[in-house]
Amino acid sequence: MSDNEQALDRIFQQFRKAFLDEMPERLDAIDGLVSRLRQTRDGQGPILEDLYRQVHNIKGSSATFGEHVVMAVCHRMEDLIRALVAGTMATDARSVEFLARYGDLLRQGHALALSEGEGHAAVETALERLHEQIAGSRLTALVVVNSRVVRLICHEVLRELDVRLVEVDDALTALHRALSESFDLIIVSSELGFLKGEALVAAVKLSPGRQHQATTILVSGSSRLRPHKRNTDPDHVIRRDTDFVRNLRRLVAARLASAAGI
Amino acid sequence: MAAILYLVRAGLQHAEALADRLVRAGHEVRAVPDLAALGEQTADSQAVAALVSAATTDEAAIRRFRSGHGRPVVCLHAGDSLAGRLAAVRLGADHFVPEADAAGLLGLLADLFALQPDVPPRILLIDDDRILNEYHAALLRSAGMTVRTLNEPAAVLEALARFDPDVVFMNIRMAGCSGLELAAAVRLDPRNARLPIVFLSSDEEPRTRLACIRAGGEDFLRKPVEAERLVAVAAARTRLARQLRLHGGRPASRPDGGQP
Repeated sequence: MSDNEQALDRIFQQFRKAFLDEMPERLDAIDGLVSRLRQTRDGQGPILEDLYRQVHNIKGSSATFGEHVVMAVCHRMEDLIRALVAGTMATDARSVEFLARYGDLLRQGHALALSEGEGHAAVETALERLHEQIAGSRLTALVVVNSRVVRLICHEVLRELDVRLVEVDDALTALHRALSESFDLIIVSSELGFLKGEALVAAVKLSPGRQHQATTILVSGSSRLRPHKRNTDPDHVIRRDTDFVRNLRRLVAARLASAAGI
Repeated sequence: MAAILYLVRAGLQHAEALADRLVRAGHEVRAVPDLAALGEQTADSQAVAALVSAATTDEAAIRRFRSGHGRPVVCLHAGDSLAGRLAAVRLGADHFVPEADAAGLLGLLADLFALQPDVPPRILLIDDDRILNEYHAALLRSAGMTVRTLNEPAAVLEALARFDPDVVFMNIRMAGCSGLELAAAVRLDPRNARLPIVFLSSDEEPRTRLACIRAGGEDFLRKPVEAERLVAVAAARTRLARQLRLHGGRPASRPDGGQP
């Protein structure tokens, strides 16, 4: 390690420790906001905004200092708060309880980071169970596409079929989320800038967790792309053409039917 | 303190004549035989720039020479050809001048020194996440930059007036006001209309990046930001901002001239 790398490593370790030392204070603030939500019937909007900002800040720091379990909890908690802010989920006793449980998982993630021990799998499993409880029978789709039009179509089709949507515009972030969280559907453009959509799909397919159970749909402008039979290939390839909406709707509906055991 | 111009002899057709010309123009020149020798000058705090031949190929040595200081590297080539320019790009040079164009080279050096390459970039970091803000500041300081941190967006106008930064890095999601609102408010002052603002965010939604572009942000960095990228963006935006000031885009001077 060069002198410069050693200096950067010292800075990293110094601030990682400061972040972990300060985190209980931030978690107390989150608990306080969740308690206020429990007691407030009107005017929940500003509390939710404040809560989102607190979680968002922890997400930024945990990503910076390599605390991936904490970051994964923050992602899911942010998704829930966004749904509450948007009104697609009611801010009621049930959803506030879910927020409190995410808060507990953040504390577990923090304890793991401090101990630098094993136990990541237990937190990740608890995180997925909580997500399944929140989603209920609804499916969740990860959408990472490079075209505004395709993005709008995905929004429309998924909303119409009552599928929860998690949208990410950065291929590497999408890859991280796809590998650390479970999604029922992954809709991805072939060209993503830093990464080919096919590579993201292949990583998901080869992952040892439940992630590889996601139905993967690759969106391409090329008529030459076809799904092959390799275990790293997307389940479906659909072309950005005049049939795109119909094909996307058909594939999502088929996934819904499969989930419902139809 | 003398500002030393490093001249790498390897690959140049008329290195001695060029060195003479530079000395006669008032520059202090230190000639080294090759790029490897240049790469060893990392610790020379008097080094301000390097002149290298496009025929050389040790880009790692160039990186070592520049590391942390943002020292410009000027690439010289026998003629003005695309091949020469591509070689300069591949070498990681900042500027390209045909070797025979001594007047052009002297003009460029005059501009570069007017840009004060020996004055470290002045970076203002605004983020209500104190620890992350100080972490980014430490990374930039380790690269020799002068940094001021601000955790309270409300104090931005005073910080700008006192510190006079080359570049501002601004978090988007902050208590009290968003980075996008803050940037708009800052730019309402004509003196800050061309101040480079780089947004930092861990937002993943496509509309955030679009909003930053619409708000006139020079760049958008997604957290976590790698140290090398943070430093590179700060150095590049500083160079651009100083060039803009030099070539007519200079905002009106602040009454106090800016305090460190």
